[in-house]
Amino acid sequence: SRHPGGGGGATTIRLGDDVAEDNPEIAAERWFGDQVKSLTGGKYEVKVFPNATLGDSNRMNEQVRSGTLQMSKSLFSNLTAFDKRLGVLSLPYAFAKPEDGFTALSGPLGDECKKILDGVGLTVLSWFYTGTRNVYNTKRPVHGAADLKGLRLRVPQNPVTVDSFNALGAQATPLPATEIYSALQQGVIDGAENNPIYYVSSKQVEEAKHWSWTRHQLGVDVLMVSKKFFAEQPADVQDALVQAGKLTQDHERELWNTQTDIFVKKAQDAGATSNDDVDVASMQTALKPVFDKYRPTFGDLMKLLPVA
Amino acid sequence: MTLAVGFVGIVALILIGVPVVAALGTVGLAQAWWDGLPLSAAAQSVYHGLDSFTLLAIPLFVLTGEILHRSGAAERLVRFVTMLVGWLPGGLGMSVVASTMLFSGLSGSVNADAAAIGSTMIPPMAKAGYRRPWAAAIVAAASGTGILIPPSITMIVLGTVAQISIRDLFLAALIPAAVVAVAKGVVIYFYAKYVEPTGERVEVTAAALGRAAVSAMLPLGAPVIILGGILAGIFTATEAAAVAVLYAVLLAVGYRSVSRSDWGTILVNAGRISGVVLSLVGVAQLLAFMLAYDQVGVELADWTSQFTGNYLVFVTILMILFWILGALLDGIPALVVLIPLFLPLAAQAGMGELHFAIFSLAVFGISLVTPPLGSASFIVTGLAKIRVVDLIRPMLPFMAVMFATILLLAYVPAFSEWLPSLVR
Amino acid sequence: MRAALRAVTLAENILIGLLLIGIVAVILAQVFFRYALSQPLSWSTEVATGLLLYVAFVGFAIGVRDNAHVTLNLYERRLSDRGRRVVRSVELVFLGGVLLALGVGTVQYISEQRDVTTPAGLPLWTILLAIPLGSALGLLHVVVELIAPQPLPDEVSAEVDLVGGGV
Ligand code: NA
Ligand code: NA
Repeated sequence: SRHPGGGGGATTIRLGDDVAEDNPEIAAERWFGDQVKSLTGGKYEVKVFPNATLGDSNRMNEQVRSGTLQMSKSLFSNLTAFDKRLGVLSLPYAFAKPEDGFTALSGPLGDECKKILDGVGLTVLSWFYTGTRNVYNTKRPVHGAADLKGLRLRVPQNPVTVDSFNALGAQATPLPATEIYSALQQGVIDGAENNPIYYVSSKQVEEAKHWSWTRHQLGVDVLMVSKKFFAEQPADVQDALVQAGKLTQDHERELWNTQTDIFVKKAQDAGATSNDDVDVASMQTALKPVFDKYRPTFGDLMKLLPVA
Repeated sequence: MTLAVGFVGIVALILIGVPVVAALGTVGLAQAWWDGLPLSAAAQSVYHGLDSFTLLAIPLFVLTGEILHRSGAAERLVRFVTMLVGWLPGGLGMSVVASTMLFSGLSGSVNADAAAIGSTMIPPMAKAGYRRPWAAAIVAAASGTGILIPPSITMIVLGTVAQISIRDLFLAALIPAAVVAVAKGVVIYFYAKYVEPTGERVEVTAAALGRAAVSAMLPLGAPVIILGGILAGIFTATEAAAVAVLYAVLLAVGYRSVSRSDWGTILVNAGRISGVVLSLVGVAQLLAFMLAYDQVGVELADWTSQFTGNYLVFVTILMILFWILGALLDGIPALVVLIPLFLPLAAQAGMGELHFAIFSLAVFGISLVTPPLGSASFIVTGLAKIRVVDLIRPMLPFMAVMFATILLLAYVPAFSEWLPSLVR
Repeated sequence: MRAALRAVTLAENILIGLLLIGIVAVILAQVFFRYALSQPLSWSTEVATGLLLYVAFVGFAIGVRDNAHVTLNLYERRLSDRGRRVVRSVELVFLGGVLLALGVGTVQYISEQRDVTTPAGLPLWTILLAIPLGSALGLLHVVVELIAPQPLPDEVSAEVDLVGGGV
């Protein structure tokens, strides 16, 4: 065929993701596909490509912008490639608890972010919740900022996170995700930070046994459709996509929470120890300069954060 | 456009003499056009295919190999090894195998191994009475195993594509590489005694051996630094490659064997080779992307999954497919396209990822030296001044040994998985 | 024209040399800052991978210039000079086509993603520029070789510096 999805009757929507097949988000995306199919009376079909088969997240997001890929799901923080202000959600302890984050994303903060993304050609359909991010390492349990001192901690290649962990006393080491496992194994780094599902499914639990519930960041992923593709669809299909996105947002949250419990158990079975006594106040004090440094960059978005 | 048309197109273009990179690029671009994708999407595939920190090891290990070759460090290794085993029947041939193991511990490229060792060793072998095709076959066979010896660029690309720890790959390949090297030594010994009589006259005195050992000491340190640094957690595999460059530069400066203009040649050669290899990787990524986009992987998986129940059949299909495509596409592009497609199937068939990776690498190693398609077979025949077809018959005993290793690799997971399991 | 071409060759050689030295320097600095100074650099991997794209595409062009791309020369030796010339022209046309498509595609790509930056804040286009640059240089060599071909070599050389593949 000269065009994607041609041939059969239904229009194909390709949805790319970089997480593994068994991640709850993939289940949520397949569920999203079912909703789209029934809401459009079978005229649209969603094909999910997990495992970065269509490339890493940045690459898929670029494709979605240009319309060569219809949908992708991305880490929120990867979207700072298109607008620096979106780094705001990477600020540690931006929300006291996940529910505050959900409220903010359903309110003015979320609307403002959607507007920015729409401006770069990405239409948001759902905010996916991916738990909280927490520190794990090979050396010791982390009870507060003092325990982070000197830990070589892998962080995403994101200046906010780099600055934050340096401010906390760790040696923030930016590495691509594909290098973390090797680096942990070799001892090039002492630890990293992520959610429990990633911690276990990436096998990093085998190397870094100390899991500490720092809950320093709310994990937010974004399910997006190409603005270009979206605009070309008839109004009823647009409504169907938006509706399916709304339904999936709630469904994904349930799936994630259920799976988190399972994976926390798996981490225990793999021999990981965990501590849930982190002195958050000590962390927040150390992070004050980072908040001040980024206030000008994030501008109005920062004012919409409940804690800032 | 179907997979079959695309594949026939690639093969046809390569056979008429179109460079592999252009053949892959043409078919990848044609497929993108067919699917209605703009040129920007094709360019994006190439860019993101190369946007990898791990791939940086390629120019770095190529550069290391070039410096060591031109600074005479490679020759020092060869001289030392020749002293050790050169006096046995077939000893020069055996020292080719041993020096290739050592040199490929520095260079990362099968072709560089073949060229460096072949140019140093084919003339003395010919002088000692080796028939030229036999000498060429020994060099080709030896360099085919270089792919399993860290640092191997093919191994690094495989680790990148399949997301397997480079350290584990390095370790997993060591025992198979050593076993196949010894097996080749045995072949050479028996041929020297009964089939291809040779007349080595290597005089070994304690003093000469001592001098050779001292002279080879520092080049021998390079693999130790590379592997040691990786195992000790001082640097990652990519960073190790930069440290290796530094070490090679220090050696060359210490030996005062590289002139100012030689440095220019080294850099340009390393840049050219890297460009050729990296552009192959990038363009192969475009093809791999198109295969994923059109879900050919899914179709292929469906077709092949009927065989995953029968391990023997599955492994044989894999071996033949990888062998032929590896020879035709020159290893790396074949790997970039094939590994992601077959990794999940291998898992279904009960092959762990490390096991599958080493098995595949060993097959690609054979591909590169298989006359008349493998690129290293051109190099050795060029150096020995024989026709490529003349290499086929003397290669047969070595091919037999290499394929026997592959079977061992396929059936005995511990052969590759045991050593890395020790350092967990 | 030969003088201009020599200047281009020299410029390419100097550029590729500097690129390689740059990569080595950046990665060594990365190890040194992390391991010796315990102050990991935040920009080094990005800069080094950016330079890698330049090495890939400037090296691609040099490979075209020096006829070093991996090619299966199964029958060329048995051809007449005229026949070899034809085969070489076919090779060049395919190389040129791929280079042109990738160069044009990347210009489109840059215009679509003008505003994208890497995490360390580097504009994406500064990295992507490697592809049209390499394409232009490679195409220049293709065109020159098509209209004013170099003398054909006597035989396929096996020197290590002409060996690109087999890694
Ligand atoms: Na090697
Ligand atoms: Na070949």
